[in-house]
Amino acid sequence: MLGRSDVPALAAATGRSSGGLLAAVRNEQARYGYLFILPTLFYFFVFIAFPLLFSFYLSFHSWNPLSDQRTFIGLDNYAELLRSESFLGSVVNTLTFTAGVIALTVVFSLLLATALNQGLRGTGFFRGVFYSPIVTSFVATGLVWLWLLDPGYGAVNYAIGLVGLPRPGWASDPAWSMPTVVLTFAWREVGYFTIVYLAGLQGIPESLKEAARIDGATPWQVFRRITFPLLMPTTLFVIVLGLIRATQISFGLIYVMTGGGPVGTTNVMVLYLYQQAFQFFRMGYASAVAYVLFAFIFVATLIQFRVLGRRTDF
Amino acid sequence: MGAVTLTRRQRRIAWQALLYALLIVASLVVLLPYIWMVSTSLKSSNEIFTPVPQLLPRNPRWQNYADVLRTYQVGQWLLNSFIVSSIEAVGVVFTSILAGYAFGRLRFWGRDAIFFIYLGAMMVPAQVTVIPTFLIVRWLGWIDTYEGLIVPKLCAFFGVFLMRQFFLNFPSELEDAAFIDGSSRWRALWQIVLPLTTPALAALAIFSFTAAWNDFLWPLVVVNSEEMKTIQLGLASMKGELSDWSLIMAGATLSAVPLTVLYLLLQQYFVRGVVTTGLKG
Amino acid sequence: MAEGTISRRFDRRIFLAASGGALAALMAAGCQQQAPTGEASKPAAGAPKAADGKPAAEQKAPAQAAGKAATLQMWFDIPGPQVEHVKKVNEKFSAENPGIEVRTTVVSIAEMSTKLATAVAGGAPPDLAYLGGPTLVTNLMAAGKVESLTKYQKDIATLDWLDPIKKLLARGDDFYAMPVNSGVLGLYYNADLYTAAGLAPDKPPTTWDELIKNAKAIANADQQVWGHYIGTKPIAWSADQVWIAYLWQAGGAWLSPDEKQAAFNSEAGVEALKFYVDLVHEHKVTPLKAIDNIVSGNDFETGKIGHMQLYPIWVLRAEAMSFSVRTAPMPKHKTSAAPLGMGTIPIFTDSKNKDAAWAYLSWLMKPENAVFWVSGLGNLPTRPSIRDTQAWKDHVVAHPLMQPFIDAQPQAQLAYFGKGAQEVSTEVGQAIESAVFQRKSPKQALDDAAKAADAILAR
Repeated sequence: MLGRSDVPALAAATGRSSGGLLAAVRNEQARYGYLFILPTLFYFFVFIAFPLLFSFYLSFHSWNPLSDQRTFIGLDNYAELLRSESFLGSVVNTLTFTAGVIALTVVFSLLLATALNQGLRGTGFFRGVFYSPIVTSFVATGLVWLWLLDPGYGAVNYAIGLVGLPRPGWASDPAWSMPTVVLTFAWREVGYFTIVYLAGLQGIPESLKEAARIDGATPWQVFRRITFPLLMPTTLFVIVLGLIRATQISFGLIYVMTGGGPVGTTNVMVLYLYQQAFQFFRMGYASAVAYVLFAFIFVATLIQFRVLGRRTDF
Repeated sequence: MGAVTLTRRQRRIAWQALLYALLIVASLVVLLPYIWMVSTSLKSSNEIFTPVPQLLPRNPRWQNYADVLRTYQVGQWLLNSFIVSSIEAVGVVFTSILAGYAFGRLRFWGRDAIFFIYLGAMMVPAQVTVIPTFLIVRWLGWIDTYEGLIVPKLCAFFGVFLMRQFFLNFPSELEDAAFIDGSSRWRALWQIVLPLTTPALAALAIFSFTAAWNDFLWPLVVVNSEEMKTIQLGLASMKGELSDWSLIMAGATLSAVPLTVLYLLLQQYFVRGVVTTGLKG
Repeated sequence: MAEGTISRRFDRRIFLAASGGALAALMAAGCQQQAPTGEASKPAAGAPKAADGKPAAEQKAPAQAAGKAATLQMWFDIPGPQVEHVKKVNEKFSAENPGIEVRTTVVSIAEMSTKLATAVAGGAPPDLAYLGGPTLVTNLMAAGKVESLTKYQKDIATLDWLDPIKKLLARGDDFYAMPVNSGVLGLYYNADLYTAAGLAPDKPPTTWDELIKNAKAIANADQQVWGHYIGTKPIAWSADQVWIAYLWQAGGAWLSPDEKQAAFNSEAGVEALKFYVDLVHEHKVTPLKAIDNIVSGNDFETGKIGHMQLYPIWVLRAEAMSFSVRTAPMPKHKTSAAPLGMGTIPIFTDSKNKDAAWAYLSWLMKPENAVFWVSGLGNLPTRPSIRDTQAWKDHVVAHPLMQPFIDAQPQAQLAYFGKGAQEVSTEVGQAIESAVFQRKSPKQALDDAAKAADAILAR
């Protein structure tokens, strides 16, 4: 059995035990490791592996999902999307949308979570308030915001008009459409990630902060030197998951609010993909788009892990 | 003229006032659409698209809630969503705890590679995986059933990711102390590590239930009959050129209630003081 | 470690609560599965009795005709009051055809193509599906996934279907779906706004110039009152269900006669698109906004829009408006023209209940049933002979707003529905939007769309 003295040595290891799989299984940690991941591994092979591989296979074909006929066309789908103005435009839009959403989300979630962690009176109430966007679906959210932001008949512009400020065109204005969807999506995501940050903040030992305060650190210094670094795993989670959600889950909201317009200013990759797959019935081409999107997210995530993913050791 | 120095108490009050101001403004922004949704649900249908926006209905029409429950099978849809989301949430939390612990605290061959494959699984848009998944579910004979709705969603890799990150945070001294005392790894997980991750668990339970509750694409393709619809499907099928939007908003408000209740039940676990490390001393 | 103990207690409580909840959920699931599923389409309050007095919707009626007992699943994509009507139609059918039950599921239009594509790809199509417009049904025909109805009735292709519909569904001797209703694009206008602007409410505009004149008289920017709404969302609908009317009226054509090249960027097309742009920027009677059919209807309901064009299905809502709404044929320019709308129900080759499905469709074809279907949906029949039945005539008398649509139907034409139709229309929709938002000139926008369309048609 492993004893306490083995801990430092193991901590230094990179996760590979010498001697390969067989030796690993004899290893007690490894036995538990494989056992614990077995349910998810089984699920992966049954429900994830086949769809992933099949759609990858499809990306080299031309296939109308209504028909039985699949034609192999090699790299033509990929060649087409590299030449397509709509697709390339959607890549730029996706980058803009994602960057905007993540910036707003990380900053405001952390800000709100910190404010809520101060033990102010009424924290419970505010926590509930900031959580509330999550209880409505994206579609309901998008619809309600669309009405509120209607340039002519919406409450927001009505209020702005009363104050005498110029009334933006929101979802109908090419200059405002991207900020509109970014703000609406971020509005909802902030609630989600505030909870994540709260849980993260709860996990930071109060004793550490107390010790620093006794040593004379200001609240800001405590935050910068202790809290924020210890929140790195949480921040990594927020950014990686935020990226995945912004590129995929944003579909429902953007579809309802702008449909990708006006003049393609909010046409993001996942919307383009949906249009190709289920409106134009070009499932092969859509699969190629999906895998380009996948590659984009995967690379971005790898970078995140490099930059933020170092394990904190005590 | 010297600089004005505030007493510590005055500084604290100023700081708190600032915090409150921030929180209140943020709250208004957050609550506005929610208020609008509830308000619309209480309007009569000709009050919704008015030249000047009305925040509050003239005569709140509580009748709308009775109407939507009667005209559409909203009760059945809510029940379906509840069944599907509960079981999915339990499945996700259970499998995520185990896998998250393995990836976060255990060493074994292939650990990081497998974790990255799991991450990758989250990155392929559902629109292209929905047809192959449908083929699998059809082969199993589960179209239009609870199994078909639930089983393809029983694990969620974002849950594994979340738990892994939280498990990364914990110093190993606690468990090692338990090992010295002869405890097995399984017991160490359940009795020592798990209680310390209560906030993360509560968060995961909320997230997985909510994700299941708001899921749309998969239920859309696997459900064929009105009585098997989840609430999101049901609401979506009410939208068209001739819809009564007050009923749809009433349905959406009803849909938000269980999620709110769930949150209220679990939110106490975010209260400070639950988590400690007991490192000192 | 006092706090640790507390958290351990909480933890156990969550665990128990969660298990309890899951167990309850599982039990509920079990009970649900065993509950009689014959609860299908719960009739709304006041379900009608069938004509011969038998109660409607007999759940487990014994099969009378040998081998004819079946449960048909129908997907219907127009949410709202139409659903109740369809259920009534289905109940009448079940009453007159004991043993066959029809269960209706509502799938909204936006989701229909996703759900249908997945179901057909997965080999599990519904028994009956109402398909609005030509796109889905032509795709299914090209994929060989719908049965030719001549298998059941040899002369079906020779009936007096409207010409465009025949052209769509007939291939040689085969006929691939049952047309159940059709519509025509028509003009709706707010008679109260007419009166307020000093215009005669019974004199709708008959030409483009009159439309502009009336719209300008009504429009009032300060009060957010607009003269006319057009479709500007960059979707296929804006192009091939609305703008095409103006294109045709200007003398233009969508594609070349051999359907291999775009023809909408002709002078007529540019004129029609310039008409749109001028409505927004020169005459200022249309707001600069993304407008589709839902936005048109919702905004019109505020009472601040002078005119809009939509299909007859909206008549039901028009009759319920708090202000006076009237209808008129589309104004003409060089010629008069309007696009035809239509809905069909096919029989899928992979369906398990094809005979029962045919029983339903042939029943629906009978004039009294066809009228029953169409009148509740607010649409028009697909055969002139049905228009001559008394039931239809009575219906028209009860809903006078339908008249202009009926008058326009004989001349209405279908937009292009061949290969790539949806994509070409989307390109044109995007061109419309670019021009209206002044990103491109009308000529530039249409030329770009034509180029893209040619590439699509050439695939």
